[in-house]
Amino acid sequence: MALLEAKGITKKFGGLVAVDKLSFEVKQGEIVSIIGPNGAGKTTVFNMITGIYEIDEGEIVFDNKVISNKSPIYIVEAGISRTFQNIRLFKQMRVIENVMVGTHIKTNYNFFDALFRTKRFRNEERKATQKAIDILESIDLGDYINDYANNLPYGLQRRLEIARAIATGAKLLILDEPAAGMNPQESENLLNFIRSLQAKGYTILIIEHDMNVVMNISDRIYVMDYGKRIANGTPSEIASNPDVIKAYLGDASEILEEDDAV
Amino acid sequence: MNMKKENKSLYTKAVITIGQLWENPIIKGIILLALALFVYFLPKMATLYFQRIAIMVAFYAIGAYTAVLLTTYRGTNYLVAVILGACLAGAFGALLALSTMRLSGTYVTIVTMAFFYVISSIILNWDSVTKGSVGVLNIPAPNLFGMKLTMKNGGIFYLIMFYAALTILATQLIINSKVGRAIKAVRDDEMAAIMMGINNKKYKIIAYTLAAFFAGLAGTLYGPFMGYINNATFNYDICISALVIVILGGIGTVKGAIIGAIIISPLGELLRGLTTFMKGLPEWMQISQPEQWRFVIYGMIMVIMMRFRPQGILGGQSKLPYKMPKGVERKVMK
Amino acid sequence: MFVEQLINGLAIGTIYALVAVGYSLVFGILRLVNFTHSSVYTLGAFMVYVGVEYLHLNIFLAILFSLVTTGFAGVMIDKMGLEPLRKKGASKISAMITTIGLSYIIINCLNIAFGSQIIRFPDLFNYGTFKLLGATIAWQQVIIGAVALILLVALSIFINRTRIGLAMRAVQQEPSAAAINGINVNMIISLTFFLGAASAAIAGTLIASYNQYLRSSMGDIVGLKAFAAAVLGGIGSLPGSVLGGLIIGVSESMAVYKLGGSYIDMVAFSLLFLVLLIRPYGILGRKGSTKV
Repeated sequence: MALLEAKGITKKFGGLVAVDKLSFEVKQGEIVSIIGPNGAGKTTVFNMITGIYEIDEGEIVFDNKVISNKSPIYIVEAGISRTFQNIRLFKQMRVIENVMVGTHIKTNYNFFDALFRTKRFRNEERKATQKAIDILESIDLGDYINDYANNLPYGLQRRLEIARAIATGAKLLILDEPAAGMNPQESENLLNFIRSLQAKGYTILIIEHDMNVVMNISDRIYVMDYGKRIANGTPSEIASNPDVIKAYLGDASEILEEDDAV
Repeated sequence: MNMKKENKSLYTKAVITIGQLWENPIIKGIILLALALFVYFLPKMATLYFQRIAIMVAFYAIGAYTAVLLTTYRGTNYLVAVILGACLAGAFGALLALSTMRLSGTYVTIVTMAFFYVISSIILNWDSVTKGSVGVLNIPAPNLFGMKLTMKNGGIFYLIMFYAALTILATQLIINSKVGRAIKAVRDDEMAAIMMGINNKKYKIIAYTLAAFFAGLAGTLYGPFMGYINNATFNYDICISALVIVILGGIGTVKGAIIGAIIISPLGELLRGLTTFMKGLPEWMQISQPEQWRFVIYGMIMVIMMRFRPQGILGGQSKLPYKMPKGVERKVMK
Repeated sequence: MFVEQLINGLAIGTIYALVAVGYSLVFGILRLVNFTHSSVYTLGAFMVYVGVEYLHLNIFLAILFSLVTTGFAGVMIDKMGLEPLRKKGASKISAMITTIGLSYIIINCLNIAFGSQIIRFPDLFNYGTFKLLGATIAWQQVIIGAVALILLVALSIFINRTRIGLAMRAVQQEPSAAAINGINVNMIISLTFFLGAASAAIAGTLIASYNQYLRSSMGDIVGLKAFAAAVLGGIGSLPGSVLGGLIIGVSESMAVYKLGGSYIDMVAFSLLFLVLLIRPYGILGRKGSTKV
């Protein structure tokens, strides 16, 4: 049973078809990657799933609920949370506050509870804080609770963004180029971290450029080019797929012809 | 004999001067503090702090006029008038939030500026209600449960202190809750906040309404304190004073606003005192226009702070640890 | 009455346009709303007054004097106030607040030097009236409009047809690329401030002469309306500023004609509000040009 299923989704910007009748699925507990050259439409897919873009055709189903063309808030509440290609933390807030913003939808009190510090406020706030601390502890950010987000090293900022996503209570984490801008050591750490998330039962969908990361971590890979799906399969299948090589390296025959001309 | 008498009158004078020096500024300072505090709440979409303060002053005027008109001409109970004034200002805040929702950046700036002008224009021109530039005179002293609070018996002073405490407390309660965090998150990065399931529109409306409500509440104080209000009471100078307080103390901190208010508020009276003091000095050394000099100093504070410490005296990131609710602890200690 | 009000509106509108262009020029280059502009406008008028009253210059020399000093003040605002902030990489808000602060310093220094009350100013263009379509029109209005118009045309030729103008546009588009191509960016920014300040000085002088008085607070409302005009037309766009200025000038005088004078100051903003609801980036503005 697929946790997330996209059925022929299409997105057009004016005349440009950014995503063209794309279908894919992510099963419970899997790590699935979407790869493709620049401009293939990967981030557009993420924006469609998370409700930032409207979908022109097709349907997205998550956890037996249709989530296509629903508001981002509905989608977060349904259990999908994401990170961003260029880290978007709440920079002027502390690490713990960032994660507590993540607990927002699970924290159940209203404005007047806050104003009068009711029992419900105190209980919920204690629960939220404890949850935030537990999450931070579980991903080795426990020592940075009091720091401000923009003072963290780059790799930890990525990690905090994921912690924040987890705090929403998401079942599916969508990571947009998590290894972008990382050195080999940092991306190695990230790999282990993502694997540990999988072990904890999270389902993960990744867009990534770093082939090393993708090939090492994914259960399955979808390859996109010009908004279309051109291949899917296990990492080893993808690595030997001629269409994929063509999309990434250009047409081999063209290269040869150019060589002849010289 | 004569000498002694003169000395005594000088002494009395000094006491009175010092009294005035502090009484006025404290009251004004507290009103400004209330204005400055909630600037913090307005989302980034009101790009410019100045504009935020301009609309705060507009809300402040709405609160002031509502309360004053009700108590002076309708004989409404003071408390009822205050609540109505603050609520009306809050309603205008919500309205402004709704109408600027679609716009961004510069355009929000101009709409909020326009809002300030529309409100001042209405105050000036709607003669039959607001009494235009003549203003509302003989505002009655607040009557709380049969007790008249005047300047003479110090009642107004305590009332104002009470409001200040209330405002600071409310700010703290809201900031340290999911509501405050949501507002801060929307202010920091709206898209990321939405992706956390935060209803950005809802929290923008809440932020504007809160800011307007407390500005309105501060406004209801001004009438009874001064005894009269007119259109000139709510001008750009108040905006500038509040802006300077926020800039000096630190944008976005409660402590900063308090420190800023303490430093800035007595400045006008100090300069006035200085003018009197300098009367004996040669002409070229005298400061003849304390009010104008005050604004020149305000301008300098802004320029200098922006250049050397844009986050303000107490602004920027707090070094104190995050205050945890009781019963929360780290399980693993490394 | 209608024709008189229309001519009047056009005359005032060109002045708004002249001030609006100054906002637009600086915004185009620094993406910054320059709040000193309205005080520079006031300063310009006062400098003419100083020239005539204290330095005993004839009026044209006085205007020249004002152009140079005010333009120089504009450059100093950038050099002393804003350039250090740019070097530090300070935020836009810091720069904006600095301009508010500088503006307050300028206006209140004028206040200290000249007082805040009304000062008589000579009517420079008192050439009587003439009849057009049965309406009586003052030459003064025509001349004011014409002078402002000529300046606008000259500015536009300067920006669109000369090498320096080309450099200015290059800096507007892409400062770093312009710098790589050997354009002295700081020099261009200074020039922009000079042009903006000088045109504001002329506008201030024209208005002071039209009203036959000046005072330190004369820039408040005009500055706001010109800013509204710049945004209305699409800030950063020169033709947009002119169009915005004319629209606001004419609709104001029409409002006076139809509704009486008391709500005149609301016209500009109500209009702006309506236009922005339909075209969020102004009439001639483009989406990309509005990052603040």
